[in-house]
Amino acid sequence: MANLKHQGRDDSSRDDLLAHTVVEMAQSRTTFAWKFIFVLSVLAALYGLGFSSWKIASEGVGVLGVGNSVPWGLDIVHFVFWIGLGHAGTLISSVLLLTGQHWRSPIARGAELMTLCAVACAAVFPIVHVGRIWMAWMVSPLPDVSGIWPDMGSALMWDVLAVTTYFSLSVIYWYIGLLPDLALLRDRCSGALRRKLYGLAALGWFGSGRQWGMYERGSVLMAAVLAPLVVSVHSVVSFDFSVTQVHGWHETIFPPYFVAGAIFSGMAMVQLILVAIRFFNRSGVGMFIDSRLLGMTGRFVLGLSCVMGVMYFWEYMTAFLNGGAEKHLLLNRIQGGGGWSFYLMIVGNLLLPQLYWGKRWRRSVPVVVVVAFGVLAGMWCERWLIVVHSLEKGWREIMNSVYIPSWTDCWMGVGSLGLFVALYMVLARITPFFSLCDMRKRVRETEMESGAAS
Amino acid sequence: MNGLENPFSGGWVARFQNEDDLLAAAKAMKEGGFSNWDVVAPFPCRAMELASRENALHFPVKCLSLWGICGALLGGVILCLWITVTQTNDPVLVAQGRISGWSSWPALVPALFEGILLGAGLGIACGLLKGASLPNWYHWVFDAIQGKGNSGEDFLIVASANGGQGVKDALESLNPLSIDCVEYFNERGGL
Repeated sequence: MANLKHQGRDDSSRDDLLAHTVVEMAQSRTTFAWKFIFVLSVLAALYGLGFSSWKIASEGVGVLGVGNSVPWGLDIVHFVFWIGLGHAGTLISSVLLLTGQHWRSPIARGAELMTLCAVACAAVFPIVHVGRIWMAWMVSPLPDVSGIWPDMGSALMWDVLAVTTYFSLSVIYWYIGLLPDLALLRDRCSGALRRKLYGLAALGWFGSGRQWGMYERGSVLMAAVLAPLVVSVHSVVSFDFSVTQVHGWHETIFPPYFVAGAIFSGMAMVQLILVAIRFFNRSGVGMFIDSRLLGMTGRFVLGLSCVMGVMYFWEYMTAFLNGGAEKHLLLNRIQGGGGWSFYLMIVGNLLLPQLYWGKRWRRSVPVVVVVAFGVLAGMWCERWLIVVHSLEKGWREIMNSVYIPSWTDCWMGVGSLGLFVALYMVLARITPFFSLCDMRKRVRETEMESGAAS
Repeated sequence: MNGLENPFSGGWVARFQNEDDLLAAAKAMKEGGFSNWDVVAPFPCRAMELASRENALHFPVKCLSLWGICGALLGGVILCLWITVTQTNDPVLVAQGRISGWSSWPALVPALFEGILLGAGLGIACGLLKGASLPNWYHWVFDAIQGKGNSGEDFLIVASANGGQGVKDALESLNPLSIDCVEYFNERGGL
């Protein structure tokens, strides 16, 4: 009995540290570095997205680098890049929950948050890209806005439906997961206003058995709905390209290729976020985001890198075996037709992650940062090659053209990065970054398992 | 008042030191045959499986799947109706000579799929909120906990007065850290 009581005190002190860390992250004062990066990101978002969007709306899409031969440029590259990151977040969270991966607890909430911010960034590009921003509402399913209904058989309409469905359910999944932790902040935070706001957001949660039962069952069911949804959504994004007749786009391998690429880049981004969170919140956070966790995410990245290698091999072998314009296009990429992007893609997506075969390197923060940036750069280049290079190379030599991004294109990209960073910093600060109940439950289960084993 | 003779009722809130003590107390309550009591804890724990909420749990956890299925069906039906109206009855955009309406049904599958999943997700979310009685701006257990300066870390057994004779004595015999009597207004009664 004495032993039991002693164990109880150990458990409660560990729980206290967990709860203290979550509460401290929500109400501690921001550091100078945090403020500096936040202000810089907001300015980048305001100028990059705000001013550029106004410029496109007032002067037309002529301010972008697109033309008749290359109608989809850097904006669509960025759209696919961000939507890929966004799709990875919830998939990581939901699939790891369904497969019972206990190490998901510290990364799940961060991955879900990444989804919301990335999809918000992605949504800007197609809206701005239509040129007449004030007419973007016409893609919404409203009757007879222009004498015709939106064509539900069009891949672009599938995309609109899929992304809005995905965003809506991701927000709900994230918010439901937050409820117990918001209640904890309501109970533990200082400041009347803060407690009031968290209290409203917690909807009156107090942790009864009935509520926990619903919460656990609901989380699993939502994850079961989200997992196929995510796979379908990025497949639908790939249909934007693969249902066309453009060489480099018209490929049946695109749906799994896009899904694998999205999870790959998303996990690399999660690694970067974990490192950044550990850097900005040193007290207590290091206990959860440890080298072992980085190692587990590293294994994930390594596995997906190998999958991407198979995908590339498949794509190129199909083109070479079939011959024709497809072979000409892909040969051109290898010969440097797409500039440095093909080689950067190979280095970032296939070669750098091979460092993760080494356990020590998988757990090293500097190596993780280098590999994660490499993967993100590689995946960006992959999207550049698919979107732009395929359009640059026409069916015949006379149809070839060169796409040069304008400054507005580039600023849009910088602005989206600023928006992502600013949104993430705010949300990670005002909402609990860790799912406290989930982590506590895992800690208990681990202790019980180790106790039973001993 | 609303046809009820005694809308004011009473209940008890017993605090325990940790999860193990809570589990032992929950087992004792179950063996004692008491009804209408529940467990409050900062995370899901084994004691919750033993709780007895006959008078309050009109919505079993298993029903959540049913909400999801109903939501999925509703989403699918709405999408079908919408597609029927927009793609067959009214003039539609004919792109590249493609047949419109249900004749080109494979092209409508992605939209239907998304609608079904959206319905299922919304159904589960609504069912979860209903089953967990959220949002809930008044609950006697919540008020009782908050009134004691809740830290969000308590392991409690809450028992309604109509859960059977001798509930209080039984709770006291379980050696809780503290036990409080709470008077509350509850038209329905129970938890």
